[in-house]
Amino acid sequence: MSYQPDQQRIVQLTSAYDPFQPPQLPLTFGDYLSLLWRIDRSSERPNLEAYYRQCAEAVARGLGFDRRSLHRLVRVAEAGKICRSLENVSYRGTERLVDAQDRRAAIGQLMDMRDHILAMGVYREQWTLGWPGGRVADAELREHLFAVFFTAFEGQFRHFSRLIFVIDIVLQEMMLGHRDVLEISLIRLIQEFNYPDPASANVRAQYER
Amino acid sequence: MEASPSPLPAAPIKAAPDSRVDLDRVRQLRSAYDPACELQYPLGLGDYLSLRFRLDEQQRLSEEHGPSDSLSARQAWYAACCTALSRALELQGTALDVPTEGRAYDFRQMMRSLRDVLRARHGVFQAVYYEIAIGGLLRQRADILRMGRSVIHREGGPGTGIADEHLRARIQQVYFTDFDDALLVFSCQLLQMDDLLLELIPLRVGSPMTLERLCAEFDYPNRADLQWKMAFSL
Repeated sequence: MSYQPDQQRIVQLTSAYDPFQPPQLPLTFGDYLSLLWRIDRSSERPNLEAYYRQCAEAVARGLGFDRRSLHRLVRVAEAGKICRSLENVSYRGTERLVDAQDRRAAIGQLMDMRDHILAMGVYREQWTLGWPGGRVADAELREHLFAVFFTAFEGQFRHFSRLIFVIDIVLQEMMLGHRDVLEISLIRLIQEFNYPDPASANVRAQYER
Repeated sequence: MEASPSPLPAAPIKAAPDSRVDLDRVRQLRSAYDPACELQYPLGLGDYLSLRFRLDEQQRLSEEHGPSDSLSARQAWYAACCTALSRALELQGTALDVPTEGRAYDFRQMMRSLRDVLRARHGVFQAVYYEIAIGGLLRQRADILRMGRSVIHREGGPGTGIADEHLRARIQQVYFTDFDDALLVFSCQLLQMDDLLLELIPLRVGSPMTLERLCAEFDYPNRADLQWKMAFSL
């Protein structure tokens, strides 16, 4: 299946970032936020949490904001509460911002929107027994179900999910103070910043454990 | 690290909108169903599910924040709406009637309630797959409705006091324009999902009914009543 560049980016932002399907595009601030979301969802699986924390650490270092208040907060936040805690970044800057309370509210709402979009984007991960309705015997009904769960959903999600680009730009501006596109290739992250190497048997074993 | 400016997406976010009628119908399904809402379309199964979702939200708020007069009054409003519509759609006394205990929109409980009827109609094995399909649709439906909650319930929007004018404008644009528009189009799936639920649910569901008839014949609460207006103005 071929994707437009924007769609490739969306697919990556909603991907599991696992070693079996590693990111194909350079990693950005948005990937960092998606990795934090993955850490939160791995709060009951220590091996996955460690894997995603290593990924996020490498991306923060690779993109040069590992010493900023954002990433310092991420390092100490408990898995499961990281995305929610990001709204406190507005209180941790070096400047005393008179509008910190408003920034906090805005970050919280934008992170909520992001969470909704990602939650919709990973629906298929939860279909452990195949897609709902895939085994309904009535062929016509099964086709209707397929049309809703795949055709209609994906058609709408393709457009809706593009909102994540705008959200990420605004979040980056609020958390890092600029809108420049930051990106770094996976290979550089692996070679220079200790990103878990997807080709490594140990990394794969850690992810599957 | 490579850095470059101009990070805006290349193409607009909006999908091609569906017909005006569809979008208005979706607006109704996503609405708060409070006394201030103008419900211009007859209320059917989709509205009933949306109302149960709104009742569920109030129940959750009560659990989280403790009961209050305003929450109790709102809960009573939604319960009365659900009960009236359940009667009108001939769902009273069936597996899809408003539950007297527990949460109003627990999709797992709704699946379990339908189990026996599904088994009787499709046999034990096929019933499982129908149940999964219905559960999938009910869950996705709730997720779509939940997405708009923060937009509907917060006034003024986030970031209204941010000093940087440009940043404030971007946030407001994302929050009120981009998100609302994109979400409305995304929510058009609700129409197809509701049609499909009508096909899958093994119950006879009555025809959609106008608000006027619901009020006149089924005790749907009167939105002009001061008691209800007060409940939603607090």
